[in-house]
Amino acid sequence: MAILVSLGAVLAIVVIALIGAQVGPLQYLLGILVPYAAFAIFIGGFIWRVVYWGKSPVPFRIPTTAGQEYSFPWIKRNRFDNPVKLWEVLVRMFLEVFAFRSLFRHTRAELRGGNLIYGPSKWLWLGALMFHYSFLVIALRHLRFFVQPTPEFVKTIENIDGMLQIGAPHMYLSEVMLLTGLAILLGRRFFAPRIRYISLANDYFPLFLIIAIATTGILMRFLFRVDIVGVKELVLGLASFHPTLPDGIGAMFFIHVLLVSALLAYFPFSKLMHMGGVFMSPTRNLVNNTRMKRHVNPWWTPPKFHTYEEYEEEYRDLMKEAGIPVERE
Amino acid sequence: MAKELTPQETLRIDLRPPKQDWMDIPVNIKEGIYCYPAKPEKIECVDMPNAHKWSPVEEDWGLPENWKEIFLEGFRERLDKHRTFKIFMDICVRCGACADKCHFFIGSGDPKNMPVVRAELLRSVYRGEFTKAGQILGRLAGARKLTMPVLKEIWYYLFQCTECRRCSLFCPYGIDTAEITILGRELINLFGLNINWIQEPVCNCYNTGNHLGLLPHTFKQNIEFLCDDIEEFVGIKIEPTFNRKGAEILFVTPSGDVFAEPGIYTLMGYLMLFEHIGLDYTWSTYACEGGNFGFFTSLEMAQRLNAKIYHEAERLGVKWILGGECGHMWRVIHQYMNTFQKPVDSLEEPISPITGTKFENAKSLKMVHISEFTADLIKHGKLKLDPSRNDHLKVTYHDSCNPSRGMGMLEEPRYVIKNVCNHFYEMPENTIREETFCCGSGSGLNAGENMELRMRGGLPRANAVKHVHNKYGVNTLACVCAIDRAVLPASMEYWVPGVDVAGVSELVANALIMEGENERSVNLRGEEIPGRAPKEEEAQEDV
Amino acid sequence: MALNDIIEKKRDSIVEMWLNTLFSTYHPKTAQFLENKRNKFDNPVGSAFKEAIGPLFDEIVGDFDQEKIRQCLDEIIRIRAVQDFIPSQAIGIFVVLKDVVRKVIPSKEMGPEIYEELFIFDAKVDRMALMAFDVYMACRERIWEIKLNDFKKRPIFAEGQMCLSYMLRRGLKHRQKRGEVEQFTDIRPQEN
Repeated sequence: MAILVSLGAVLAIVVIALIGAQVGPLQYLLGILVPYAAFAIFIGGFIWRVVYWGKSPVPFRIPTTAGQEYSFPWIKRNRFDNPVKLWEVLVRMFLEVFAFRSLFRHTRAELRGGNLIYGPSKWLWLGALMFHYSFLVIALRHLRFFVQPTPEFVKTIENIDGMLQIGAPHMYLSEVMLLTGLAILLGRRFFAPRIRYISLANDYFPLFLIIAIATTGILMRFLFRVDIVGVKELVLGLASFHPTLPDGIGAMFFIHVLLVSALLAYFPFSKLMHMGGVFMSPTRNLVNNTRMKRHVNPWWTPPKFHTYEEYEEEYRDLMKEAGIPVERE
Repeated sequence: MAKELTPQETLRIDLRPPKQDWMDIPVNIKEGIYCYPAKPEKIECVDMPNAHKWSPVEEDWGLPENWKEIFLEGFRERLDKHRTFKIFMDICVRCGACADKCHFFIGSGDPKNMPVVRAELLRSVYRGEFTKAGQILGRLAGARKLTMPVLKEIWYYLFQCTECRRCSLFCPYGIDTAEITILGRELINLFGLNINWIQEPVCNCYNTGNHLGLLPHTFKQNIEFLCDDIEEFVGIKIEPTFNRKGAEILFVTPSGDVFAEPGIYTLMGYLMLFEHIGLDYTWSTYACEGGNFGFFTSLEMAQRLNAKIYHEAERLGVKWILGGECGHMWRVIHQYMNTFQKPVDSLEEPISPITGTKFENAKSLKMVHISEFTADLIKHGKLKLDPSRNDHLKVTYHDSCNPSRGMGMLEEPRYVIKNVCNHFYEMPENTIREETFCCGSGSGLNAGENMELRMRGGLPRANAVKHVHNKYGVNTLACVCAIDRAVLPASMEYWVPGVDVAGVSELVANALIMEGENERSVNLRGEEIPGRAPKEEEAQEDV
Repeated sequence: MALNDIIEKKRDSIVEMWLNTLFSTYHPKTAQFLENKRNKFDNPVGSAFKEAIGPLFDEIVGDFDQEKIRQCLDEIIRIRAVQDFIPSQAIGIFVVLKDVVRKVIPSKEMGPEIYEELFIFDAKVDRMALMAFDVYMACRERIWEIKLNDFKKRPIFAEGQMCLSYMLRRGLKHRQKRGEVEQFTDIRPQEN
């Protein structure tokens, strides 16, 4: 059910774009208004969500410690799994964000028949890593449409990405890796019962959406060629706030753009916000120095507790009888 | 007339469970899994709301009419107070990395014990009640409304989580189920749905200073009884002081060790260690509980119970505080206490009076863990030790969840054990240190009535113990946690008979060569140490 | 063909089918975990089942050594006795073996000539099932014993908050030795 609905939603977007692309006036809507709106929602929504999180304080320092604490000089501590300094926590976050370190823990070396091999759980880490990195590379490559002249680093990325020089135009590595990564992530949800059990439409929809985006992107380059010059003109226009709509851009482009717009608009309201959240997760981004440094809770209130005076008042006789010193005889 | 079955059909027994989506399977609250509800008077004694008599297996839980409002209002309030709660409600991508990391899932096979689903129980309500998408799309977005059956399910599984944080370690975003459970339990406490095994200690601790409700004289008496034992077994008379002003150090340990086996042997260990090094310290009958079941009720309750330690330290004018072996006590002390309480000016940065070591890592809070303290003593050669007295023990060490994942104290206890025992064996790597498995009964679930749950949760730990038991003949499971000492014996009894549980300080004291001691033919348990039988036979008196 | 020959030939597939039936008594999500997670310490339940079920089957068709059978049964039942199963579900898995074996016998072989052997095999399965019942009950009784011990260890407070606990008895022992008290009576039920 969740799968069908998600798939249906993505197909609906494709169909809408396909129809829209055939009707002249609607092209303005699809090519200019919708991307602007989606981008605005994305930026606004992203900021809104981060501010929404940020409005709640972090009352306690509760990092998950994953290694030896700072104690004596003669005990080797684990700086990055149990950081006490700012730079150490930055390394921890770096490893977390760029190498998915916690997920890598999930990868367990197993002894099977005397040989050390890795269990299937590695697929999650690998799939996630492939997906996220190729997505980043592809996003950066797209900068060539937004900036004139194309920045050097974008060209470098393109060169590296296309170094295998397979096919004409060159197949990019990132395209292959993105689709492979997506296939692994989706495959887990389909075929691993445990993961299927916990999957919601919210999990399938973005996957289908991104698969559709990647597919249309690839199709545009190989099968349904679109007018690249026109596309760049349109995108540059959008980026410089002087939008123009050149003629003869293929329908595939409009599908691609509408799908991307859908992703942008959906982003801030979904689990995709883990992109921002990972930086703000208090179990990872805090230092473990709570006994070394006092941390103040903004909503701290003094505790109402049973004071010693009350205690002695209640038990004075018993205490005296037992020879325990008291404040007042 | 029943349908006639063919012989083949008669043989075919279908044992398969239903296959529905988890939201469609109503919760079935079972005896042996749940803990008994809190007694009303124990709730009233700390001014918590809606104290009432009720039973989890009955239809009506006796909630106030506006319970939904209270729950949702409380939910909103906690979202505003804790960034963790907001983020953990929002960013889970359900990748499943945590799913098989929970000892309760591993031991029970109940899919709702997968940390992700346990959190989804609350998250679905969050989506259904607080997010637009959830309200419009409903089930499709994994959202549902708060209803009585939903609340019952949440309640049932909130008390099947020991807040051990193992899942958090594997989560790519650090989502911490312990945090969700802590806040979830706060919510159900808004209308009096705590369990008695937590609430009664909370109430006792509030009034008398300790979980068991030991009155000042009984507390003192119990420790004196243990001194009598030490005199009998070791031949040394120890006279500890109580509530003594002007002592250098205040010592606080969980009260379980003042009362029950095998914790009392650990406490005897402390007494002997302090005597041996001539420590200027005092016990307090007022701040006589290190453990903090308030932490399993609400953060506010944890703060209220925790306040006594500083309050007493200030009154007695001690320089710093030494803390005994306990798991969640150290989570609270290490990660919360310095925020819960205002600093006490009269305290000084802790320095070991014996070795002169500055405890840098405790310079602000001024509270040191006994294992840190002991490790430092051993490192500086201040203890005379005869580890061969522990030669009949083959020891393995169980990292308690809280000191490992909420503090990072991994090496100190190992260093101590290796210096007082000659036979030490580690359990498999993925079951110790930061990846340690929970005892299965933490966070206030160490009651007796939920024994089946405890056995399920204890299985992964016990399984690893069984491995070293079979492989190396391990017969002693060392730990630095009072709950461990209270519950692991039961778990061992069921899963790995032949393994005893001991606190690290008990092992230390058994190896300790004290001035003026007897020949030490028996250990602190009064059991003969193999190969050290006394020369003259003495009739054992048994009562 | 004789039943024993069929069983010998199909031993592995019988064991596998039996094991799968055992896993299928769990939620499919759990079953997948139990079956696939190979690390013994990450998956104690699945590993215990896998390790016990083969030898158990061999013992049934082979020597029927009661002690060995009891051990294998214990490995499996000790776990199932604390899980969400009613008794018949917990040990029903052993009766199921009859059906599992019948499934692998080719239909053309199914005839009066192997009925007698099948009868003996069934009888063995029945005996195993009865043993399973014993083991299950022993586990359940153990649980209750542990529960009872747990309750016994709890403090008992009587009038005036006097703690008639283990500790008090311990203390009285010393005071009695020193002659400070003459005698004391423990009001708690005594262990034999």
